[in-house]
Amino acid sequence: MSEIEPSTSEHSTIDLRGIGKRYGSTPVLESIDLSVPAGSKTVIVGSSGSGKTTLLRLLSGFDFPDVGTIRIGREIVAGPGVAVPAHRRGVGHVAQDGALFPHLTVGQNVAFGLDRHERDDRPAIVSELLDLVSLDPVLASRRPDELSGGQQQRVALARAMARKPSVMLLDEPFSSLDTGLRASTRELVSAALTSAGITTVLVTHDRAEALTFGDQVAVLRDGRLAQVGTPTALYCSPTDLATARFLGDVVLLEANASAGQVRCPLGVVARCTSLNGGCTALFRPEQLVIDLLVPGVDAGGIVARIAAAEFQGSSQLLTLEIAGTSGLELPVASGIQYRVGDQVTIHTIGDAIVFPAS
Amino acid sequence: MTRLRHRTPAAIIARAAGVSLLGLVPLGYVVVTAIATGAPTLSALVFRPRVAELLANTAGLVLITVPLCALVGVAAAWLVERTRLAGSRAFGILLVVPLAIPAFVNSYGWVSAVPSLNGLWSGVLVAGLSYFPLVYLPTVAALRRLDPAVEESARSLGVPPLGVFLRVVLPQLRLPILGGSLIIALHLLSEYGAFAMIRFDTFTTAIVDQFRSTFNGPAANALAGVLVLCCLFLLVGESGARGGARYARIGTGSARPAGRTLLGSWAPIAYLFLGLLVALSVIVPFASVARWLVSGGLAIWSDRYLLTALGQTIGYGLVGALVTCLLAFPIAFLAVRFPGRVARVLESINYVTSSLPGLVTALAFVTVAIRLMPALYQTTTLVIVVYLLMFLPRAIVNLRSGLAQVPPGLEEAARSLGRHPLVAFSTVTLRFVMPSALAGASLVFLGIVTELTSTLLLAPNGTRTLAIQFWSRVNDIDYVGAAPYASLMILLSLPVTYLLFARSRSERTAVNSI
Repeated sequence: MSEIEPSTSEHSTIDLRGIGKRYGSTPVLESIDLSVPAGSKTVIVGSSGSGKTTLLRLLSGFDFPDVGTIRIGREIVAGPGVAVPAHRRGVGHVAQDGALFPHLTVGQNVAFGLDRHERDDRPAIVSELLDLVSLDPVLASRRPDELSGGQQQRVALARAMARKPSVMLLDEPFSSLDTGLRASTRELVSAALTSAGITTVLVTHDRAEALTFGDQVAVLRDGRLAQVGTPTALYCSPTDLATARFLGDVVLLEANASAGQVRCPLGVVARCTSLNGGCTALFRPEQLVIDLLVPGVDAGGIVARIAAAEFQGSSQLLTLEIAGTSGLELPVASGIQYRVGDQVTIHTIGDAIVFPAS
Repeated sequence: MTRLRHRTPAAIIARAAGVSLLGLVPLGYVVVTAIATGAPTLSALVFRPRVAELLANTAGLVLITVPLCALVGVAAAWLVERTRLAGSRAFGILLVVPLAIPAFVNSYGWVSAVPSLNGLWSGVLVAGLSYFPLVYLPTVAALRRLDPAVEESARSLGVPPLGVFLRVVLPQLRLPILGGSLIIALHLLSEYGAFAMIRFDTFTTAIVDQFRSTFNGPAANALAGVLVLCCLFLLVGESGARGGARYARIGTGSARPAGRTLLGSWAPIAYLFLGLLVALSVIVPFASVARWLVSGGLAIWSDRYLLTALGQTIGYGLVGALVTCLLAFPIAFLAVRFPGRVARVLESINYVTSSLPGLVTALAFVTVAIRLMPALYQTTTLVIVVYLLMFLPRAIVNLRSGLAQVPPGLEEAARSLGRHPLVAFSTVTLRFVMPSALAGASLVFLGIVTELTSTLLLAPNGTRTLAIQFWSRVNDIDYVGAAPYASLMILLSLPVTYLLFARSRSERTAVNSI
């Protein structure tokens, strides 16, 4: 592994300050501040058109910000009067579908960025890198189009790792893969990067990918960072409704805050001193547990009637009628087949997240 | 598809095979005459100083012009497509215009400007300026469809811009460069007028001279045999160099257009290069034609053969294009709907035949007509047959890509809605193929209206196409009288040339079939 050990971690921190970028008169990125700790994995997640690919291109040096400063390690690579181009940044980059050189073999692709003095060891380095991304070294003599999509992505990663970069940028590298292949490729790539200690920035529109891949997640919306934090923090404590919705399913209830308590048809669901009056209580579906009501047994909780049930395979979407609501839609596991008219009880787990009424 | 699939092939194969058999006549003629001449006579005719001289001239022409055209074509394409030069779009169009000027008209323009032109280097100059767009155009098309993410990957791997061009872009341009170079080489072998005008002897000019002095003598046939060998050598060489590599995008690629380079202090040199290229390849011939037109005044337009020539040329062009498209259809249809060895063989025979100089095809049919079907000799039918064989691939390539783009599902949908298979085919598929058929027909039309060599050999007495009239005026040293014919040929060619340009920017068919 000595060949592909990364540089020391102190060079790996990425720091963006006040980044702004326009295409013509359209602002694409505005006031982006972001720090990526050395050796960590940060995911920039956003819907299409949110500016995430542009942000990654600024980091790779394919494009330059109009305002703001980008620092990689100790070096300012973009800023007032500074514009270090891609080939001088020493930053690895894996494009959406790998962007392998179609005229070269897999081995030649992997060896493309190697220095001249490494020429003699080329076959050994190539096999080592292919091994690192869990590819059989015999594939080195194949053409890229003879590989599957997942294999191509791993070759692209091996090619980028050959330069021993301290920073790796991944531009939706799993989005063109089938669902099953996507998860396994993601795990392999993640493991390879972790073992090499490379600071990684991944761009994606897939929320599941964002929450599983990164140590830190940055939600990008309309060119601005909406929230940055750990996956748990973002999922459990989103700072606004849009972020909450983007990262997972939500159940929203009209609520009322008074005397430090937030009350909704499910009872007192949170404590909140900062709000007063109408507000919105947000639950993740897994926070609401329902049980069939057994007549004569007081199981506690709130009683509701099932007004509609839609079978969706592993889950079913129930519409619940609770006194005081206009029907509450809740996805639940398909283990129990509920029928329209069934009475159920609802228990909550943990507090709701409360937002001012929209 | 079952009924259609089971019933149509026999009839279609028969039709396709008929055309392809016709395509075997020129090669057959070369082989048969070689055998008939006998080895001693043949070797006496081939191994003589004159042939060595012609071979040296032709080889020199090819070896100098082709790399030069490749260099100029690629450089121009890169400047137009990948740099931020102001006016790159205008240059992009101007650099295709030479395709609208037949090489012999370009040669006439240059001889008018510099009467002392002659010999190898003049040949290189005139032919290079006529043919470099044949590399330029497919290279532009290829540059436009390269995945920009691939180049960005190279940059992120620490390779500076020049390295990216040499190590990543250029290798991916191998196919258009090789394809364009092959077509240029074949043009160089078959061109007559351009070189005759500057008194530079190649195999083709020598064969035409032989044919005119001794009609159908064994000397001309022996030279034609050597010329055919040269062509086959080029075809095999190109196919070997091309190899089996696949250079298409892997996966979907990136939809972004590629980045453009800011040239900075290199910009003046780039402007000088492009400006000079346009001046030499477009402005010189145009200015010469304009000069003769002005000096001739209105009087030269009252040439009594002018309208006849225009009418005959358009007539030959339209009939030739129609016949070629109709006969190309079965071959294209087989290639798309029933791909396999039969389709491939039938198709490739036509490619080889059209790669042979039109002169050889013409000689073959003159001989065959005189020996076997004298009634056909000196008829328009024979002229059309030769045009057909010369330009068939232009129609096949376009029809094939058109057919391939029609989803068979549409035809099946029409049949499931109660249409008879033939009705479904003609109302759905044929309609979709029409634009491609028209594009193919236009290219055949372009080829015919500027065809000189085989028309000279084959045309019935009294035939006056624009090219023939132009040539007879030039031979009479009546450069003024030739100018209206030259300008009409250019005018007829311009729209089709623009079509080629437009296609190179969107789809990528037809570019390599000129």
